[in-house]
Amino acid sequence: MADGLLDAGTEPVALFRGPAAVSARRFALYRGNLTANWQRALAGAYPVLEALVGDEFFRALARRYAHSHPCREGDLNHFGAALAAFLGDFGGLDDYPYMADVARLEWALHRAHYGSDEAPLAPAALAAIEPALLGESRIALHPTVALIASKWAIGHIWRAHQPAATEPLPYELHAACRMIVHRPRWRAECREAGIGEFAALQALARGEHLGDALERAADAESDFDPGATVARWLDEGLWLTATPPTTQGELR
Amino acid sequence: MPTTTALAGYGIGLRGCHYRDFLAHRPAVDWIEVHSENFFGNGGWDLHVLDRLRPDYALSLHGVGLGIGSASAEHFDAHLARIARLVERFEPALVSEHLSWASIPGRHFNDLLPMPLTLEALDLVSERVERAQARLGRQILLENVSSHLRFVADILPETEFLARLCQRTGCGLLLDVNNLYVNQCNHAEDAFEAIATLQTAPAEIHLAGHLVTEDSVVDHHGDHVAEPVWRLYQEAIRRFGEVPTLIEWDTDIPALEVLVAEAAQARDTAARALAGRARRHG
Repeated sequence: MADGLLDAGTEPVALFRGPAAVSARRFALYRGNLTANWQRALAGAYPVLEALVGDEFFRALARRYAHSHPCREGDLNHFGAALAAFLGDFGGLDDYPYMADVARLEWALHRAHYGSDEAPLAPAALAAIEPALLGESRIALHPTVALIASKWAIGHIWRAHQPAATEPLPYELHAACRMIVHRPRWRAECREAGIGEFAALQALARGEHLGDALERAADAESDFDPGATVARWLDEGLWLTATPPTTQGELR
Repeated sequence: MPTTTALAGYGIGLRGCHYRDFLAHRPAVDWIEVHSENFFGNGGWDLHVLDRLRPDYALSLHGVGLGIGSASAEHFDAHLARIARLVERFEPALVSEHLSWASIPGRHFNDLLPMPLTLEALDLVSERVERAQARLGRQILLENVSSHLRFVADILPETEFLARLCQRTGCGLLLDVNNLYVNQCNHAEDAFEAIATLQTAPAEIHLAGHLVTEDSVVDHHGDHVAEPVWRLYQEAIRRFGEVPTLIEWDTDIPALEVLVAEAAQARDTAARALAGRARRHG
């Protein structure tokens, strides 16, 4: 029965009661459900991609993706993790090289929606660290935070496709863009990051010390303001913990 | 095994499009149902909304993805563990799943696929139900499903399969009256007869809309409960008395008021059925 669900023309009608022609048509209803479920699940995670490629293309994409990347669990909210990588192999999108990066951004937003509710690092907890030890502290980013860099204006493209969009699609799509995905309270959001702050957050995500990370930011962006930027990150709840070098435990 | 008595009356499903309405003015329903899989995340808005509403409503946790009848158990324990996490957090009055299969090694179909109703299948599902009840430390309910196809190999009517399953495992019956009607249409099975001869009293009843198509009747949960389904429901209430009843609506979901009104109609319909029974016996 499983093979028949995946391939048209292989309905196992002998398994079922009633006339074979009726069984074949009814079996096809299950196959149709399967495609509809795949498409609905992916459209839930990738609404902008769906709007960009159109309904028909998206349905074909969903079917091809599901055949090569089976859903492996009863929770469809994890289905679609590899879609961005798959887009490169899919063909038909060579003239739209930004699609895969739009998909990466949408998947990060989708996962942030379901991410952990852990309280972010409170500014007071950071202030409690001895100033001399701050530079050698390590910072864990909040689990809902994701950093997405692209050669393409994916932030612009994404915003232009939001329900209350006021920005039109950009004329020039080939413009480097760095996006921070996070979830203040309950709604996953994304914003564009400066080249310096993005470099610093990437460094922190790799486990580098705070001082080194901020130095990278200053190298990347001459007018980078570490104080204001750290305050903004804390305000947005991008950090989960800070661990100074002399303690074993982490501060929250 | 603890039984589940903390839920009574008429409930509706809590769906994402109604979260704001629910939070703003707790609608007058006796209890709410959620699909377990929509709350499998580590955190976020869905879980937060349920946390907020849970003190005001008894809860039925209804699974659509366990695939309890799948020949392969590859997905079973991991899925069950996530249900267990929700049971612990939300302490639902009822926990239910479907008599269906869903997966093969390496692939989940995310659908309620029909089971062969054989003794081998009964053994397999019994073992899974026992495993689930042991893991969750409580009784679960199993629901009859609608199907487009019946297997040549079937030897038991679905309701008898479920009654035997209840006897063997101590699980409860979730009777979907709309599914009985859909199967009556699709397989010329007698739904009134099924209710009249049911050997297990249902612990919960589901009512929903269906869609009549050329090839098959589809249990699409996208419309009002149909007249013949209300008649079957009255038959079930006359036979078993008042049973916790859910209005299911999952596609083209209307305004919350429509669901609340449909639940009120279930209450009125059950009351009429019970009044008729009292007159007959009185």
